[in-house]
Amino acid sequence: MPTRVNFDPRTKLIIVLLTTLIFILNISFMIEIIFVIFLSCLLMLNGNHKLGVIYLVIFSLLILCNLTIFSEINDSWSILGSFLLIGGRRILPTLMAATFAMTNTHIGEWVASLQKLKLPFNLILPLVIVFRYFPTLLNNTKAIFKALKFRGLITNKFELILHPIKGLEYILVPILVSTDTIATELSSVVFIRGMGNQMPHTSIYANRFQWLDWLVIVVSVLLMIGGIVI
Amino acid sequence: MIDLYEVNYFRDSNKIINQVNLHINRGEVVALCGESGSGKSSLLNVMSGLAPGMIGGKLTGTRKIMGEIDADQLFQTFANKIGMVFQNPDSQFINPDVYSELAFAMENMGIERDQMYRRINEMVESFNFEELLQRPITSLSGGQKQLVACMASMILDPELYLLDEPTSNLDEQSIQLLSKRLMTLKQRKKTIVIAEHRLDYLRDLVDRYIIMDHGQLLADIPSAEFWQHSTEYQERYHLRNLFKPQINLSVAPIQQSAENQITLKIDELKFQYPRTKMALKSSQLELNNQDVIGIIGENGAGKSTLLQLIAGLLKPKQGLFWLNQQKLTGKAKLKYSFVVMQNVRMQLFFESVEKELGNGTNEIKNNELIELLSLQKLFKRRPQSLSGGQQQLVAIATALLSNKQFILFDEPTSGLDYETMLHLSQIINKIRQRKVLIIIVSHDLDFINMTCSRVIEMSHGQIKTMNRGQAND
Repeated sequence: MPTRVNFDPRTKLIIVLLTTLIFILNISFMIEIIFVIFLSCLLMLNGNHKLGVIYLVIFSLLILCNLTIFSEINDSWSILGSFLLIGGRRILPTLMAATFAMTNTHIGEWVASLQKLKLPFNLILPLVIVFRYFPTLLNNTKAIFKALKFRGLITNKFELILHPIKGLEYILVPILVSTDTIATELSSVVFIRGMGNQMPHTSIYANRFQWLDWLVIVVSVLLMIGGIVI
Repeated sequence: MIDLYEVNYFRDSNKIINQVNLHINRGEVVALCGESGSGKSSLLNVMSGLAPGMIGGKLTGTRKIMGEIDADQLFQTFANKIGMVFQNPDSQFINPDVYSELAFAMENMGIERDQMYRRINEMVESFNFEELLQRPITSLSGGQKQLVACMASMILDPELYLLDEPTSNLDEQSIQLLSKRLMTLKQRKKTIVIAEHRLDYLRDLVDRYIIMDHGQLLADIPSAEFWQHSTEYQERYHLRNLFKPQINLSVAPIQQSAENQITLKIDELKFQYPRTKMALKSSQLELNNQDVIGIIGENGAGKSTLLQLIAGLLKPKQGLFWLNQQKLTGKAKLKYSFVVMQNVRMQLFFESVEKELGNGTNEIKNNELIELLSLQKLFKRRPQSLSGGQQQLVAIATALLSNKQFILFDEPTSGLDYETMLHLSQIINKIRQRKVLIIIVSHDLDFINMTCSRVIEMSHGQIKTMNRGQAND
């Protein structure tokens, strides 16, 4: 049984913000590598062992391609190639930070933390509904594919490629029509569970700022400063 | 507790609630009965203040909920005042697992952690749910989800309960637990309004039966009076399940002609549920279309899983499927099967019911079936705009019109009223003469009794017993 650290949601939020900031700024190659390794360590500590490794492998491949195949820019293909590679390298850390933030933190923890940060309820509510919507969407899409199969409308992936518009219609119609219903139902559930209460919320999970949270924040801030200075 | 004067509710220019006058006192337990689409869910939403506030539409007349005219005032501390359970068990959870979902409402009300632990323990114990407490909600069966919704609605001990068909997917044992819990709530003078098709478990609980039709209140009958003339009322208002049903199959196997014969044999079947230790196992199973086959068993026994394995929608870890000695691949299973899923919303694709029934075309052949299920009047409607029960009916009809050899139903009657259920049973009785194998997963023993000639009982992923008529085989 792999153990994992319970990071405070506020730490996760700070990491997301800092990561976005760092990769908007033009940082040095060395710091970029260190930061990605740092993020994948965080992912593993957070319990996403597999994903931490996968992200690291993808990043290494991107770097490798960048250094070998597209090391010199001389024609339009290499311009396109290196553009995509560098774009990928810029987006990847943000994805890692998002994964870190979105997994293994319960919604109740997020709500309690965001309220501690004095964020207005009108901002928290849509966030909760959007986050909750994705798993529902995934489940519904699975159910739709099952139904399409036994109804004989789309029986395999090739048909989806051969008739993309028809396929898209079959998948999108139930999803779009039900999105309205699901959004209404989820908002209703948010209300019947009393999320609109203006008084301070509590959390059943006993996590507060620990030394590891502080350490993570200090390291990431140092990395950012280093990235700008070097 | 609830006062409605001359209340009308409109949505998309349809009048959904029509001139309703209703007064419910504190401590009363009221049942809302009526056909699918008669407005039961909408009336509950009006009582909760969710309509029109959250759901949209227009409300006229005077509404007073717990002394409050302005429904927006309710929302802040809603969870403290009203416990609500929706019809669709799939979209009434915010959290990924049972434990945090139960805690969620309490967290929002700022309740101390020790007290949260205590209340969750007490609640889970009374519903025998300890083992499933840490499970992801998506891994639960339909009935288990319904129980979680009930527990979540009760955890803050509110004064008013609005329950929309809480038992539609529940097994007998869970219904007993729920009804026991509701009984203690009644003794503690809580007010409860239940929209329900199954009336047997409500007998000692309910004070008044309210019958709805087309958004109107047809009748308001005190309990004693209702049960004295129950069969009369059942016929007049098409009500269901007045008595606790036992297995007593009234249909006999039929002799199929040689070319219509279907035998499905399943050998050494094993399916492992993802991320849990649970597995579904069956060493040998033979299903023959001389029978209409019913599958029963407790919540989470593996009934829906077995259906999806037969249909080829889930891939077994091991197992061989034979159709009349011919080996079936996953693709072939899909080709032969049609499933009516528990959540039918995701299996309706077209812009009108008519097209839905014709699988994309406007040509529908079997008019008798459409007439019996009275689907004609829905032809021009958009399937997604229908009520839960009506959607179910449309999905059932698409299955029966599909001319496939395996027709598999997963809780087909959960949203149907008595008359529609009778018609469905008649239709299945006719269709079974053809070359078709019909398998029905259901908790509704009334329906099983009048439709099936063989019953398979499942428990913890295994087949426990098989009955044909009264005798074991």
